[in-house]
Amino acid sequence: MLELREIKVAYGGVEVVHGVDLSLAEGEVVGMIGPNGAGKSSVLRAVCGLTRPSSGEVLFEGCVVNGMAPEQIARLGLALVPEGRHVFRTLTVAENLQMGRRGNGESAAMERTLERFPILRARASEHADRLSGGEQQQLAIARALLGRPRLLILDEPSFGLAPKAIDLIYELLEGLREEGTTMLLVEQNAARTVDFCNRCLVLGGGRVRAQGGREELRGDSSLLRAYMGGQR
Amino acid sequence: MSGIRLRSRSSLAVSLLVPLALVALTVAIGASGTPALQGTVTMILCNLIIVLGLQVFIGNSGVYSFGQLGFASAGAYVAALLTLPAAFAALQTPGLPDLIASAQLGPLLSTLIAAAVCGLLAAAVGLPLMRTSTLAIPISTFAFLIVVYNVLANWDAVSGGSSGLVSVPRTTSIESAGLWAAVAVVVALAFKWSARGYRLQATREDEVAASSLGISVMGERLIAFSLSGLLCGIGGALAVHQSGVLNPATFYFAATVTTVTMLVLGGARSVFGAVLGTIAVASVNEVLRGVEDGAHLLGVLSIDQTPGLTAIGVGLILLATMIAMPNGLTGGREAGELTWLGRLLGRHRPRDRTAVSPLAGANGAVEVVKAERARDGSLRAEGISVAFGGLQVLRGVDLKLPRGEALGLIGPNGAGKTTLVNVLSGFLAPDAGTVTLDGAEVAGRSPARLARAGLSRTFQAALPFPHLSGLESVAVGAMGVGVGRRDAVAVAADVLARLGMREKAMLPAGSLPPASQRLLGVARALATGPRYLLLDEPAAGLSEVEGEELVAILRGVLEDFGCGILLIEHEMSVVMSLCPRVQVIDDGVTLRIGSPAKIQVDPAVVEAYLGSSYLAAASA
Amino acid sequence: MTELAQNLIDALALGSLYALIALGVTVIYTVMGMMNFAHGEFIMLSAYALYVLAGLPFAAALAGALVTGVLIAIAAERVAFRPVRNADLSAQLVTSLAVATILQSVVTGAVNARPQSVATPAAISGSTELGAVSVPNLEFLTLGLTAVVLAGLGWLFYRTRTGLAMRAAAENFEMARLLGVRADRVIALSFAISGALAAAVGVLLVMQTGQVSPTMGLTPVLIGFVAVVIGGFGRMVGAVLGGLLLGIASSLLGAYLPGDLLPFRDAIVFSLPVAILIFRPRGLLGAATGEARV
Repeated sequence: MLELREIKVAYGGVEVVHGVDLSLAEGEVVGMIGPNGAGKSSVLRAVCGLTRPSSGEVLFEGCVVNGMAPEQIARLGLALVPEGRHVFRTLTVAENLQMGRRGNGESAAMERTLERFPILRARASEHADRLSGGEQQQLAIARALLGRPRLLILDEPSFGLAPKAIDLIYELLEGLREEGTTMLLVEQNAARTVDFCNRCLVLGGGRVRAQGGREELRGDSSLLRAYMGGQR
Repeated sequence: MSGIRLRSRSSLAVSLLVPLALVALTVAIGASGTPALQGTVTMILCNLIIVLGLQVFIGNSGVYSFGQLGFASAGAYVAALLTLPAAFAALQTPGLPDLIASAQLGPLLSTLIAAAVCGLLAAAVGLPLMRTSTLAIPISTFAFLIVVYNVLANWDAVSGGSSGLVSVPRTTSIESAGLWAAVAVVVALAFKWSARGYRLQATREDEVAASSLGISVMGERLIAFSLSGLLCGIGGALAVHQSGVLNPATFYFAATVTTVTMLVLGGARSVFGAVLGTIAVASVNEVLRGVEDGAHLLGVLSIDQTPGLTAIGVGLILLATMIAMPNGLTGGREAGELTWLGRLLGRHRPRDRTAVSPLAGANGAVEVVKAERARDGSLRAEGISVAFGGLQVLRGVDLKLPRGEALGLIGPNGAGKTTLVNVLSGFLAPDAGTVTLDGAEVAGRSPARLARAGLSRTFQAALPFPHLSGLESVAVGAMGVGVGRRDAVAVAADVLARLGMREKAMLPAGSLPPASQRLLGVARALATGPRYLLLDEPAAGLSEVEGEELVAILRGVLEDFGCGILLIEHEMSVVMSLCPRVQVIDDGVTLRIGSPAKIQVDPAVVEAYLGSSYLAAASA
Repeated sequence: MTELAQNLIDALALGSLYALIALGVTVIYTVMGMMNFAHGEFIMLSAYALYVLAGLPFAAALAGALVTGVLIAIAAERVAFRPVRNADLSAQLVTSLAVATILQSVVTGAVNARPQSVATPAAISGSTELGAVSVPNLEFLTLGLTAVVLAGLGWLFYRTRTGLAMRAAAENFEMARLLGVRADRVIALSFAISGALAAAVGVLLVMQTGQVSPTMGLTPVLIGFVAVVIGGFGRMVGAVLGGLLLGIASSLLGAYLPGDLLPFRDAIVFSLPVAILIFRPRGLLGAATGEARV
């Protein structure tokens, strides 16, 4: 479904991602973890068309998308829930959801979404900046889902949220996984991500440092070292 | 301390002499022509002075002002009224006080008085205007221009109303205009490269970073605004003494568009750009007008269509230039910084590398700004709470950073680390809690005041000053807390040498790799001579080797500078090897304080970072 | 009492006109972050359409003015503004000045630099007696047109999907694109709306003064910018409020200022924004966002 081939990203002539490969099949849930500055966000920006990779290819459903405008890529069925959520604060909750709909999407989809996120129905007419962080995250995910994406990318969905709110978000993601939604999950929260995903890539310094399934990464000292330093 | 320079002598000479030579060439061409051409060229030189006035403010501050022509207008009226023969004055401006009406000053004195009046007027007008936001200044200055126009057009008894003044003595010769223009070039360059000029340029490059170095954005803008008004006043005074006539529309919207266009076309950041842009636009204008006149003579065009074509041509050229060269003809660089010009003049290296050599070793200059080495005193925060909207980011955090010590501040993303640093450095007022600096309560002070009090910080983003060189960027740090230019440069050289960055000192900061930009941010903060240094993720994005180098550098900083360092860092190896004490915050509260070795194996900390299931699995 | 009523209606009419100008400027600013100085020329060209089409039935001339405003705005975006969309503020600014210069010169060259008179339909030049108050029909037209425009924009922005996309893009362009909003289309549409607003203003100005001239757009665009700053950059409602305030202040000062100060009315009116900005640096309705990005 999604394939990155030797992606390199540079800003102002300086390379920050030095060749990352990744492939993701339909129905798979893949995690990308690593400390701050590892290059996770740069990879995501390249995938979504917000940054043009300096070399390498991004293929989505077999078609090369690097060089396309972000809206074109979005219309192919790739949805990003960005870090920091980026709900439209000046719009109401309902309007935010409308923004997620593509074309004249049937109201059944909206109904299903509101069932999945009851809090959004309750607060539909309020401005989005009145929501708490966890509610905003739900709104951002719901907004992305309304476009019926073929691939859902989540960038740090637990960022800045209280533990309870994080639990709720992961419950929702679990539900999506069971329905077969293909997801790429980018997180700092390593253990949770490793547990949740079919397999994970560990990024560090713009490169893939390790990858594998839960069993392989669990107790792998390279993961802990990436986060907690080498003296363990 | 001598011998350390922001630029090589030859680069300096080229930057100064090339624009002056252009002015001289313009004078020479004009003086050899017909009286009509002389008049045209004199007017171009007057315009040049006004454009240089615009450059002083707009170029260095990066903020657009559309009000500067109001000062040119004011200068022209002052100079005209001071020189108008009494008989004409009685006729045109009956309401003028006798003292001024009867005054018939010489060209030099009237120009100087006009300059002084405009400088003061600009200071008075700038005082409220500079308080408005960066976005609002263009429009509020525009409003000022309209006010000037309206007053002049209706104050009939004093200004001659909308029909204006005639029979003003025409005393501005092409040579005197050229001389004034040369003076304006020198003034503009001297200002740009003074401590004040650099502080203002730093606010243009990054307002936030500049204020963290002790720079008052509003204050620096006001100084430049006043100097700019003064230069514009001179330009206006000379212009009216060239044309002999003046009305409120002489320096109004059309003149504003023309002069701003000249500045931007040449490249607003550069004095050379102001000169080049003025001459380019004026020449194109004259050439097109000549072509048009020729077409009239040949009967290709009817007289009725006269004014249109020249303006269309100028507009099209402008449009094409902006699309192809958005930074203007010079790209915002001075003559001595332009490679192609260097080649043209037979200099192979416009950026003379020999200028770097005095940087060879630490020279101890940093002592100038460095606080006494005494290691007592501390930066303390007590009970800091901050909420954004409904989200409680910090709930009663305490922190104590003694001087001479490195304290690590760690915690998972979103724990509130950066928010705490923002509170400590004055960028954010806490909802509750106190901050004391060596015993003095400082909560609520601006970042600039805190920097001058000895508290300096870096940012998660490098926030470089892209158009300043590394050496300039760091020198600005010392200038920000009031060190003079010469000493500031020595301090910067010293700091850069200690940080092992001398090779990069002469390159524009924007062209450096992120690791160097980060380090430059640290150097910049150090040049303020801080007693407390707050570093927000200095190692993010650095390679392992670079991280180790950073640790070595910071260790040197601790020893050499004796300041307290608060280190926020995700790269644990950096924290572990530098800080004897580490404070962990999670979800807005302090989770643990202790030695790195203990913190690293503390179950609560590992859980906060990696989640509980990891721990369960690891211990299983 | 009668005089007060008369003055208030005059003030409201002028305020409405200013609000229309400010809206035209704001529509571009919110979406592109650009101060479009060529907006005055969009107004001027629409007015010239009325002059050129003077022979046709009035309704046809009006339609011509509207089409002209919209087409000129869209063409300017496509040719001049799109290439500098991502350039810095000064490049955009000078580009808009260049476009203004070119459009103005084209008209000067094609028609004449001198003002040309345009006949106003009798129905508009007359006035209507409301009790003791005599209201020029043009003021009714201005108020009515403003009401229609505001209602139309309100409908567009708050009742249609496209308008929703525009509001979203105005707040966070990148996020809107990530949700599939087409950047080119939203910007082109903003220019079309701006052009239509310019046309409305152009028509009203012609009806008011009975003439057109190449520089007639200058004062309106200045007023528009000042109104926008008063109301708060980037807020539609702020623009309307700023325009109304500026117009009402100007009109009432004109009515009540003592005779010897009357000539300085504009000086007083244009000192207003500065006074407001000192106390509210982001304008009356300026968003409290944009905290230091640290």
